Amino acid sequence: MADTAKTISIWDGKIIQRALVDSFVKLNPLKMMKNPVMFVVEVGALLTTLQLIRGVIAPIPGVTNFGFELQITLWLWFTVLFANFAEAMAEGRGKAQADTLRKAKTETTANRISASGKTETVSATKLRKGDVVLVVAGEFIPGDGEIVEGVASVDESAITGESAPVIRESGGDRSAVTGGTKVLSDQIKVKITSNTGETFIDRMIALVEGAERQKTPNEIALNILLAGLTIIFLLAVVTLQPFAIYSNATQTLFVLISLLVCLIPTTIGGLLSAIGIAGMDRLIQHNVLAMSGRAVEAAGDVNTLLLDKTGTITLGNRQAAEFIPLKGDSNESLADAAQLSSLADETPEGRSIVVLAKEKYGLRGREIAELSAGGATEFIPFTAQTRMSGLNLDGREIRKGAVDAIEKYVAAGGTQSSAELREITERISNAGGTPLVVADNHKPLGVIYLKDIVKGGMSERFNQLRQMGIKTVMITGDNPLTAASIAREAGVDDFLAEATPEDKMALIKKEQAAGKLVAMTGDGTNDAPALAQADVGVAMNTGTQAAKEAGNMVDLDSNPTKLIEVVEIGKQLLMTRGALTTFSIANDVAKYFAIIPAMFLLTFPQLQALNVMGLKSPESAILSAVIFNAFVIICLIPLALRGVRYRPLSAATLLQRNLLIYGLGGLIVPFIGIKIIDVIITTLGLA
Amino acid sequence: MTGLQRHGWAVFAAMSVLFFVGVFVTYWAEARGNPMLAGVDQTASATQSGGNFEGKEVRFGIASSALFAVVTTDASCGAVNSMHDSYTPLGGMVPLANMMLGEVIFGGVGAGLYGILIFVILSVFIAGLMVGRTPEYMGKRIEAFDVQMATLVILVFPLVVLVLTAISVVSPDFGTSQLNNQGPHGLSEILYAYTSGAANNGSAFAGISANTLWYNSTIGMAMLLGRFFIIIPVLAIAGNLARKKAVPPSLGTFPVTTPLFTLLLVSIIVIVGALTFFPVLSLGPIVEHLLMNAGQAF
Repeated sequence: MADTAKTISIWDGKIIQRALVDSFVKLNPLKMMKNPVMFVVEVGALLTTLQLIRGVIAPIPGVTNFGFELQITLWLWFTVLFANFAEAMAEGRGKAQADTLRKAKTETTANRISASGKTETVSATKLRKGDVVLVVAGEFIPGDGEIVEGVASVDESAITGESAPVIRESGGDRSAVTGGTKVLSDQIKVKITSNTGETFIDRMIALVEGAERQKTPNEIALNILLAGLTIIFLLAVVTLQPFAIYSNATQTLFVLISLLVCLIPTTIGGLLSAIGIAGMDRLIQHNVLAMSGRAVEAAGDVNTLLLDKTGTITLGNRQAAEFIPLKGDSNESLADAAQLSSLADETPEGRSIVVLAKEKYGLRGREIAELSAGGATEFIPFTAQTRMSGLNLDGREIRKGAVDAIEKYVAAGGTQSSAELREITERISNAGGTPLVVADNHKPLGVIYLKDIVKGGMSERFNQLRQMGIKTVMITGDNPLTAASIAREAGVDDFLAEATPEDKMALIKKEQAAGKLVAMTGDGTNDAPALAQADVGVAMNTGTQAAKEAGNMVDLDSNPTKLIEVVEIGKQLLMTRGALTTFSIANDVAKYFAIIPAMFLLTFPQLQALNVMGLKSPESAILSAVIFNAFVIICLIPLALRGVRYRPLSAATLLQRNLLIYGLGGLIVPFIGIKIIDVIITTLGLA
Repeated sequence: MTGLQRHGWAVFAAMSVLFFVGVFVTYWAEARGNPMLAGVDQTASATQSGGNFEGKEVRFGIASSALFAVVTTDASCGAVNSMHDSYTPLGGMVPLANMMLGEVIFGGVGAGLYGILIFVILSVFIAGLMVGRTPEYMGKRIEAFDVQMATLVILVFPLVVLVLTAISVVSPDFGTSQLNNQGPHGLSEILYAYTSGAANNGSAFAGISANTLWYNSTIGMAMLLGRFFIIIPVLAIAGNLARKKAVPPSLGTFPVTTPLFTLLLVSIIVIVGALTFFPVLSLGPIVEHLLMNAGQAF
């Protein structure tokens, strides 16, 4: 799904086709009423249409100007249709994605295991919460659920777009499966956790289609302002007729409605819902599902980001960075022992030790089989009791492990471990690393320095966030010393060391009490309460059902770094709204200078002085303003769908930039645009 | 009280800009004199102060009269030291426009500040979205309710002034019959009467016999709605903001202390005011000014 979503361009032919039809369907006044600004335009268009028909039947001599009136009426309808088209375009992208998802929701059958233990084949739609089904390799999982027995590799590409299969197993944090995904190997027993129609795919379809879209808080506030402005302009235009009558310059309905439509904020009014839908859509293109638009908006307002250290700030694993021998031992013998002890160690840390030995000391990786050939080699795997691993080779005992464990091992051999060893290990800990001690026959040789590797580019990201006024807090289970060192290297503002889920929760509540909005990611069941408490909780798709339900967004890629992008999308959404509102209001100045002189030029020829654009005739001036007003909606659809370009800058700089572009631009552009249209229509002889 | 003294200066600067522009325009219009009195010496000299001196006192002269007219309509005072009705059309439009903006430039004693604060809230809301956050003012989020109330405030003025003026100008019996002048000037006279009433200024443009049942009762109504009705939504905003948790300022917070903010505030005041009243002003003082230049008076 994600792949198809990413390739849908703004001007996709199919979407445009569907949007064209939808723009007419949306003319239904009951639907238009939800958008007060465009509803006024529609009513205006309807009134001019009636007046136009009346003019045809019984023309008023000297007043009726059929050509002009017809054009005004048509352009008013176009204004409404253009706004509907913008909304339909935004929805169209979602609908295209929903269609792809529906295909994944094909009719499947399920092997339900009844209470007596018998397996029966039923339709997937008959499954209810609590049913247990058996899914074998090659079958689709019939519904959302949790694995109660077994391990399987599952192809979740229908949901995530990621083609590599994932491992799902019973128990722990990887037990949730999604309906519509396919089991590739093995077999699992799944306990169904949601009824038909309420599954994850169903919710996804509803979300991307915009069916469940509710207006977000800022959108509601903006709508109120726009409705208020509409009423003000309605008053200004309605009362203008008495003033005109007093001045012996009675106006026609066409002119008055043209003025009204040009003045009310149609640009933002027509694009407002498209902006909202497009914001959700951008999230979906990043493979993030927001359960509500409110969450997207909250993301833009976030003050504090809680980021898990592992996987977000650092690469998942520690890597060997240095071998530090004790006095009297050579680097080479330490590297050799370290390599031997790690040959059978398949953990990423173990492999990094082998790599370091090869890179720094040219020690070739010895084949395990080669060593075992002597028959005297025995690999000692890591156990929770000994907390060491290593090997016995020709009577040599090589071990590596944590300091405490090795000290115990050394003491068991009758020797005393040196103060020097303590010193080295403490130094490594203080620097944020993890020391691993290597011993040969109960004698410590030296220390391997394992280091957390901070992901590339993170420190710049955090710097950008700081400029946006967002504080980053690193959450880690490490001790405070280690945490402080990594925090310094990564450039986060703060850290929470030795964090328990309770600590995390307390931190969120503390920040919220100070009036801040907090965003976090999480995947485990123990993250669920914090995810629910946070203002923006992004659950990983690989996480548990509990985590997914607690959060208000789900990241299908399960990439915790994406939280930063989510924040940027939220900000972009708000900025696009603000920019177009400013643009829309600033536009009105030019429209006044086009229409007002045109209205009263016949009575007061001196008003020509206000016709700063030098528009040809009163009719062409009014028509040009109406056409510009309609066209600007179409021209801004790409901006509304793509969003205003976002740069991580401080609010003061952003404001300066955007005021210049959308405020000043909004003042100047219509003067030029209306003049150009006036030239075109007078050349064409339309007015 | 808010500890944001620099914000206070930014708002004060916005008021000052509007004030000085007003004084300058009025003085310019008056000192320029009346082009229809061509042949009459209207230039300032040792023996006369020149300009349009009709309706002004010799001891005040053009400059002080212009200054007084602007101050009295900016600060919700209402006293006059010259006849506004006798000003040139543009000179008379400035006091009118000052009141139409809701007397937000400095404002009257006591209740003067909240007028401009409403415009501050609107500015913060309209432009605040452009920085990519829910708009905040003094650390308080500006949300639907606050916007609703602020919109209600700016709605009252056009409602009262425009509707009552509109009824009067098309009613010969009780409306236009009381006028001493016709044409655009007559429109200005009625408009001024209602604007002054609604803004609770009390200054009179004169040239209209307002002591009738219609004008007494409707201007009284304008005063009631224009002054006291506005207090309700303003108090509602205050109460609502007080209840909200304050968000500590950060780099991402909309700046309200910069010259840019001052400029934004001035633009919002002028654009919202102009957009509302430009049509009626263009049929009143503006067209009158153009006609005067063309040699026609009312």
